Amino acid sequence: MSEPREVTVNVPLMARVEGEGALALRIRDGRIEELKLRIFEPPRLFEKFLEGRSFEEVPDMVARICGICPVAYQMSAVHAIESILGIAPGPWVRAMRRLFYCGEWMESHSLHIHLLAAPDFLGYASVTDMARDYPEEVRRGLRLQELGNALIGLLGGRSVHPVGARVGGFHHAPSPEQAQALLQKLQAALPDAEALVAWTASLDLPTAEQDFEYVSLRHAQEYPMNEGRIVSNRGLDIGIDAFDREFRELQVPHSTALHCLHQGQPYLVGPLARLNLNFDRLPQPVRETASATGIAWPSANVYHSIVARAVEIHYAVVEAIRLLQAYQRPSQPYVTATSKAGVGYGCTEAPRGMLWHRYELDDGGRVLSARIVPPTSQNQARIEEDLRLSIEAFGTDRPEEELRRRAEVVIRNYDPCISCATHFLDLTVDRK
Amino acid sequence: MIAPVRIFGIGSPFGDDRVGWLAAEGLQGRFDPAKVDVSAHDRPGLRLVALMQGAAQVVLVDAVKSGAVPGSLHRLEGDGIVKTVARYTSTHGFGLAEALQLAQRLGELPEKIVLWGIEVGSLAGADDLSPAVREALPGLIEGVAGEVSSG
Repeated sequence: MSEPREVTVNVPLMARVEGEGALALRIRDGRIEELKLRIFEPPRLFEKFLEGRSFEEVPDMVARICGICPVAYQMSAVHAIESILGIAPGPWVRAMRRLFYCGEWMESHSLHIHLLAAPDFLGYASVTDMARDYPEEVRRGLRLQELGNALIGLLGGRSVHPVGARVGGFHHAPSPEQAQALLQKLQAALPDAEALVAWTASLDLPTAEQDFEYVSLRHAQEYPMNEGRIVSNRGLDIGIDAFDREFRELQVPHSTALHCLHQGQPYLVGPLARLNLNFDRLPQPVRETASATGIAWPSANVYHSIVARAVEIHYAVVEAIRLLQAYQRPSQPYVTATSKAGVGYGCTEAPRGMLWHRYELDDGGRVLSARIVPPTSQNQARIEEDLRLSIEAFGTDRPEEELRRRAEVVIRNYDPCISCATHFLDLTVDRK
Repeated sequence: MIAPVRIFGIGSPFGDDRVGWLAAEGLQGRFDPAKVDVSAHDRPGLRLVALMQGAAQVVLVDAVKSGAVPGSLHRLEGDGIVKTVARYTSTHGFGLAEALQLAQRLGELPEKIVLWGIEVGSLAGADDLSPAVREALPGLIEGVAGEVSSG
């Protein structure tokens, strides 16, 4: 049949804020002729807001870009700025930044697993419906999420006024008693984290083996968070300052977001990319739990992302325990810096993947220009590619409602910025 | 968090949506912190379930859009919140309504729960509150304070 049909199911992208995301599909003779995913992206606005601001204001400002991952934005920013100012905050700050990140991974990954992914794979419309049959699993997710929040809170990060991190370190150091109390909670949470890995792997996940490039940081000794080189499964291995030579952001007419391509091709960032590229950097207990799932890592099945998230929660708990066991209060939780002109780069592993920042400061330490390349925009072309493959495999002649549901599952699996992902999709199908 | 009574100002940094935070700010220091905890939250979503856990009384303060005149105050109680909030707010995704529904499903909705909503206008990127909302803020703060002192 060549009857053109259009369906609109409206669900905006940014909770509480203007902006919309939508998928437009044009199908001709059963083939996808055009597929456009539009995602509203707040970081672009912030690049302009940052211009003219003092470097000291940057960590607080960028923390507001995302309600789910303020830590990531702060971390990429402070590393970039510190590289310009030429300061090295030392081992205490370095350890606490990892701890800060552990909290955010736990929080963000728990949210995605329980709120978005698991209901999809178990066939529920929402986590609320899922909680009827899986109350203990939901409670476990809430506990892990809250523990992640407590870690962020330990270092002074609060959701409304994110005052935790600053250029040079942290505003405050927690007391040894606070650190000890949280250490005990983390130790008690280890069984939850291990059980979560097994549970995600036991879900009836779709199989979608696709051939794609995945990219993440890689560090000489550690599982990557704040530092490392940018590597891929196809031999990429560059310093973070060389990002622009390999990757190109493109304005696509159908989206306010920029697409980012590596040598003209889509690529994946995020937990699955990190785990695939850094499995050998995980401590043994985490590797064992991950291997016990029966999944052979690295995995080319993008639906193993949910398991990768659970493995990273387990890692974050183990790593946070290690860091807190060695905790000592410093005499001062930051080093001071004086203004300096220059260009600097920061690239850290946000829960959703590599988050790249570039800043140029003037003599007075004011921002001349800022560039922020968030994980969601890096994944966008890959999501489109996956949608194309998945929908063609699924059958382009299916009813719109089924196509929409399928497309949502595909998109949600990439955990695009939470506000982008919780909603149904505004899908337009045009068939001729 | 151990205080039995908890007041949550909910919002985001966008225009009138900050009003819940400003209400929380206005309520800071007015109560015995061992009994009443006042906090502000940026789009807490699912976290609200954990934040409410173990509380005897919760007062939520949030911006709402129901089509009323900006600055209008709404007060909802108990089950009424869960039933009404979904069509009250224009928020999408996992918002207040879903968090409360989930808490209810898990049997963890506090016994006493009240929502004070304030009708907002634009949520565009402006830093300031609109005049109507700014004018209504003191009334909102007193209304919320009254919930607690009236016990």
